[in-house]
Amino acid sequence: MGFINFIKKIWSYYIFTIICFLYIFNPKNYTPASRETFVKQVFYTAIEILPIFILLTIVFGIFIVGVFISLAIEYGLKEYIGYIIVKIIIVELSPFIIALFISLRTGIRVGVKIALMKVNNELNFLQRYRIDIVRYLCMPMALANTISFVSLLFLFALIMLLSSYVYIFLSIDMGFDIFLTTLLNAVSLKDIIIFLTKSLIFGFIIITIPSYDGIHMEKRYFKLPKSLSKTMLSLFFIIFIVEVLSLAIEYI
Amino acid sequence: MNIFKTYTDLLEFVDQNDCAIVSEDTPLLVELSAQENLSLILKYHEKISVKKADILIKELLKDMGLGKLRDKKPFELNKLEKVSIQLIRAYISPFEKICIIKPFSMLNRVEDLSYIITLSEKFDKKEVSVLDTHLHNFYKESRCLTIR
Repeated sequence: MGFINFIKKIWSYYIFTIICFLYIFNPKNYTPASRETFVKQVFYTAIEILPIFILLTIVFGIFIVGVFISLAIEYGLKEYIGYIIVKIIIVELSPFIIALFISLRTGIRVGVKIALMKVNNELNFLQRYRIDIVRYLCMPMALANTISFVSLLFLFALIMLLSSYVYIFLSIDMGFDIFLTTLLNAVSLKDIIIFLTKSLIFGFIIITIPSYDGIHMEKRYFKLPKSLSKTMLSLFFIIFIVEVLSLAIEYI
Repeated sequence: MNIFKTYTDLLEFVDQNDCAIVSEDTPLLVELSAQENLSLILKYHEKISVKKADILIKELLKDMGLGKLRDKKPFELNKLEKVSIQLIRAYISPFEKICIIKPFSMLNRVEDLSYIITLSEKFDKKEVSVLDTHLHNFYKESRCLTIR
C-alpha cells in the first residue's frame, strides 16, 4: 500500500512539473506580477549567494580536483586526466553537487513558504481572488531557478576547470594548450546533452516538488516539520533517481 | 435580507455572487508590504507594470488617508489597518461586489467597524455587503448592504 502511494506521489510530482513546464510556453502567463516573482527568485538563488558560492566552490574544487588528479597520477592514468575531469567532475559530479546545494537553500525555502501560505490561508486568498498560483508563483520560480541553476553550474564548472589546470600545472607541468586539447578530446556531444538536460531537470524539480507538497499539505501548523522533512526526502530521492538514470543512459 | 443558517451557506452566497472577500480567511500576503499586496492585484489582473502599479497604489493610499501604511508588512499593522488594506484590495480587484465577512472577528474594537464602513462608502462604483452571523446596531443607517 505504501509503495503504491509512493508511486502515486511520484506521478503527481511528474504531472505538476509538466503543468508548470507547459505554462512557460503561454505568453499570457508572463504578467508583471509573474515577472516580479521571477526577478526576486533569480536574485535569491543566483545573486545573493554568489560570494559564498564562489568561495565554497574554490575550496571544494581544489579538494575534489586534487583527490582525482593525485589518484590518476598515482595509478599511472595521466593520459585519462581529461576524461576524468570532463566525464566525472564536470558532467556527473557538478550538477549533482549543485542540485544538493540549491535544494538545501532554495528547495527548503520554497517548501516552507508555500506550506506557510497554505496554513495562513494565503493560498485561499489567491484562489478567491482568481490568482493562479502556478502562474504567479510556481512557474516563474521554477523558470528562474532553472536559469540560476544552469548559471551557477557553469560558474562551478569553470572554477573546477581552472582548479584542475592549476593543480595539473603544479603537479606535472602540463601546458595550457595541451590541457585544453586533452579536455576537448574527452568531451562528446552526448556529454553536453546529458549535462544540460540533467541541469534543466534539477533546476525545475527543486521548485516544483516542494511547491506541490506545500500546496497539498494539511492546513495545520504542527504538520509543517514532518511535511517538510518528507518533501526534502522525496526531492533528494528524485534527484538521485535522475542522476542514476543519466549514468545508465551514458554508460549502459 | 438573507438569513444564513451556517457559515457554509454564507460562503455559497459569496461564490454565487462573484464577490471580492474581506475576511479572516483571505489575509494579506505576509511576505509583501501593504503597497505590494495591493499592487499585486493590478499587476496580475490588469497587467499594469510594476512601476505604474506602485505609483497608482501610492496615490490611492494617500487619497484614503492611509499613506503611512505603504511600506509596512502585515505583521506591523494592527487589526484595523489590516482590514482597511484588505478592503482597498477588494476595491481594486476585478470583482463588482465586495463582501466583508464577519468583521467583528477581524477587529479589536466594535467601534472600528464605523471606520471600515466610512472607508467603504468611498468606493462609489462597488456594492459593499457586510455578511455577519448576528445583527448589530452598527449596520443601521449605513450605506452598505447588511445581510444577516
